[in-house]
Amino acid sequence: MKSLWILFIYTGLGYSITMAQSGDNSPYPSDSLNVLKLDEVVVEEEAIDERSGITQFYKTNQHSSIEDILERMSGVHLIRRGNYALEPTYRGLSGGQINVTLDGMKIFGACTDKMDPATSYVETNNLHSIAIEQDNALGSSLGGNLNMKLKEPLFDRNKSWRGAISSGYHSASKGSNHALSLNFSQDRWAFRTHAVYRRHENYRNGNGEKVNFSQYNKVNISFSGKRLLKNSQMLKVDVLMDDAWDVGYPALPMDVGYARAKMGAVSYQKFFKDHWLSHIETKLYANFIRHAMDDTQRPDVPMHMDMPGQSDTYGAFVNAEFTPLRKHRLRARLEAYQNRARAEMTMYAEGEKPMFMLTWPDFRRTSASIYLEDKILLTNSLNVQLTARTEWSHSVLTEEFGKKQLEVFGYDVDKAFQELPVSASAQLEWKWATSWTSRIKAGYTQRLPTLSEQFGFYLFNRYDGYDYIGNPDIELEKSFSTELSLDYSGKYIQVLGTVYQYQIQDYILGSLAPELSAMTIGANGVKVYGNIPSAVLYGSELELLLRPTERLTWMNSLQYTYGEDNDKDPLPLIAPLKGTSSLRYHPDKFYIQMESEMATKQSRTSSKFGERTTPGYVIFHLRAAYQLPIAMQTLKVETGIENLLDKAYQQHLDWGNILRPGRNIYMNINFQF
Amino acid sequence: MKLFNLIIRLTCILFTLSLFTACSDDDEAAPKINTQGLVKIKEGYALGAATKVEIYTQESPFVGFNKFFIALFDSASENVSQEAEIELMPMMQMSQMSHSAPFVNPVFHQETHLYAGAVVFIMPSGEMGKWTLGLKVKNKGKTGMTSFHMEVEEPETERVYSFMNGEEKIFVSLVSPDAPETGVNDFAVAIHKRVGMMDFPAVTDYQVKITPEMPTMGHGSPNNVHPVHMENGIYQGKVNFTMTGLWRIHITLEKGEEVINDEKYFDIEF
Repeated sequence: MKSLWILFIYTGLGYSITMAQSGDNSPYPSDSLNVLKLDEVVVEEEAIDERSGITQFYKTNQHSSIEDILERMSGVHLIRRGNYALEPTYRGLSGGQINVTLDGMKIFGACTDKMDPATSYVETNNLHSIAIEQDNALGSSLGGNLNMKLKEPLFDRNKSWRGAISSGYHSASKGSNHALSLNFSQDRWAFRTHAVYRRHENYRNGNGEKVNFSQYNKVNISFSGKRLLKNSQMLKVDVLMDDAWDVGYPALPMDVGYARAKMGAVSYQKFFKDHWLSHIETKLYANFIRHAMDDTQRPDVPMHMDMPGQSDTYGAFVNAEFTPLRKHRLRARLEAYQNRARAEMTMYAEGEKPMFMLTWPDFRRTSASIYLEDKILLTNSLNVQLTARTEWSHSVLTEEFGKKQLEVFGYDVDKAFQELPVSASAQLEWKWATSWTSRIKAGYTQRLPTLSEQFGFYLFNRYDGYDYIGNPDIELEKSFSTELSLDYSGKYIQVLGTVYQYQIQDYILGSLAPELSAMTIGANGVKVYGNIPSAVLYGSELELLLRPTERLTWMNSLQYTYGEDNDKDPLPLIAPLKGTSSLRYHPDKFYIQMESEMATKQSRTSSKFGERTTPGYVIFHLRAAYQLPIAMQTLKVETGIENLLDKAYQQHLDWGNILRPGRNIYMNINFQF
Repeated sequence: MKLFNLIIRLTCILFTLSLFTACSDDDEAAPKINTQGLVKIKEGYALGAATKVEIYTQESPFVGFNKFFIALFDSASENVSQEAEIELMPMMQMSQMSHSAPFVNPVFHQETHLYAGAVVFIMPSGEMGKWTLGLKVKNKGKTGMTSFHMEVEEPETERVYSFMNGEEKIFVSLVSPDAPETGVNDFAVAIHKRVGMMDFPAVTDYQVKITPEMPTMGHGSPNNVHPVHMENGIYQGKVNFTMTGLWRIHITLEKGEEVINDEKYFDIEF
């Protein structure tokens, strides 16, 4: 039974929390500051610690989308092209600079125009947690890894069936969300299945206007099965299917006909007791993504085009944790994966043969990597964490057509492109007083170029209006980063302050190629990806949690990033100072929460990127929920008004001058059994 | 039993024969013509030269630069003739007059054992008149003539254009790409001028500049190589296509500092 509990703790939660919690009988963190420290948001409803109010701060309601949660995470801003599939950025780093994984599985979107970041293929109701891990264990990327963890099937001896069903309505988009989850466990088996359906129409903005092409439809279905074997071993199977269709992108000239993902993984874990090896996990995974843009709904399309894309990834990894010496806690990860991607574009002009090109030439990247981490407990209050990772990456174009296209630019693409990106970091953590902890961290990271950056072919970027062409001979992007953080965790007050800086070399950016003529009708010209000598990013994040009484929680956050290139010009897509404040009154059965969200004007804009100044804004939200226990079940009713004052506003990373939703009244009913 | 004997004998004979053929192949390597991708359109005898003539093309004759691949065989031995000389004589017979056309006399190619030449038909066959292609073959000291009727069709897209440069009429014809594809393509044009009705010499002193464009999209392509004169009025360069579809190659002809013509183009669709 004891080992089962340990298993619970391990499988239900991330590694770090588990370590922090060892000895605690609760499977969920009671120390909310851990959540802050780890940049991890636990979203599972079972995980909600009603007293802390932290989770609710991130997951504001039962049907919060993944974007709603990300947007509230420290350092995260979203690039918004529509009301769906927003692309996360972290401290001004985006795209290939951050690595998105699902339970450690690599996912690469299939859209050349970044309309399907990996986060768009999962559902929050199906997630246990979202975390930004900066240790590069899951991939070499400047901004760390955004890892999402799926919920696991639960073992419950007292209740073999559990489940939840919920429905909700959002007024701004006349949208409805429905979710169902079921968990079954018996003896050594546990199964969990989950389904979500979302349907939203064009939303109303703060000026009372309907934003055309902002609708979306989505179904997400998943299944997990878990089998406990003898000697603390466990087998797990996950299958996930996500299907979005008729998704509008008001900031882009095209919408999405469909975006489909199928993912599957089989994993095996073993836990050891009183052994130098404490945990080993291995996983095999595959995911298949199909994406097709659609311009048939748009008026005045100069020329109809088909733009389907596909991306398949296969991989496997082994994680091991061991303590060969008393004061060393080691972690190792071996991983290999292959990504195959292809995207095409066919344009149809009347009376002519179709114009065909490969926007992503048939591409195959094979990668193998090794990651090592050593956490050394120097004293009770002082520890050092050292990490190192290296990767061998081998990229080829597999079809003649794609090669010939790029040969037009004089590149030799008949060869294999091999790279050896390395990364390393060191962190010192010092708990110098009862409630005080300081951390200092330094890291060096090299990252691979993305497929678009290396081999993209006339990819239109609506933001600056340029066609982008990849550069097969592009250099790895490198970054020296340092981070300093200080936290205080008292009874009534918790504070976490972080300052960071990234000195980036060979920053990957598109630069104007005046000799090339744009392919897209109406485009301003052509940019070719390349490395600018350097860029810097620095900024700060501050979180302040006040808990004056048991029933009152006041959560505040403030974040700022400053970025400039080697010409001292601002980097594009850097959000201005942004703050949120959330006051929550939560007696036993209900809560009421008042929130405000503000951003200053961003006038540090990149003229090279055609950025405009974005005005500041302040908006307010009001939320309330009532929880009614009925025997063993719980009925929860949530309601709220977002953008209470119907403010017409937009954030700096919102594309195309499209205003965000105006006043939105929502109501959700959730029944847990 | 008889049948068995017969089979054995036949097998022996066949085996022996196959040995012989194998030997002769190895020793003499009797030259064979390679006509891969080509179609035979005409066949005849150059009387007086004791030579059989076969004409191969990539496509049926059209108004424009036609590549002709000519195979010559000794009419007695049927061996490929490798050291002959061919002179082309294209002729348009009209009711009132007749005229010739620009051409490139065939040259023997060792790889294919074919004589490759070209004729630029400058108008289609039809009511107005008929084309014939005469060949004067000089083989092993003997000279003979043959002539073929040519049905020349107007192609869907223009493959030769002409304009007046002062008193001279200039003909510019598209030579390649034969099989256009996305990527880097060989691009060549042939330039000739009309001096008399029977005299169309090559123009060898022009500078040719090309600007590819997708007319429907309004964009071009990078890194094209302007054609330069090689021989026989043929200018060779490179054209780049970034996608399939309709491409328009604008041609500017210059002589020294003077622009001769910059209003014409060739359309290539694939």
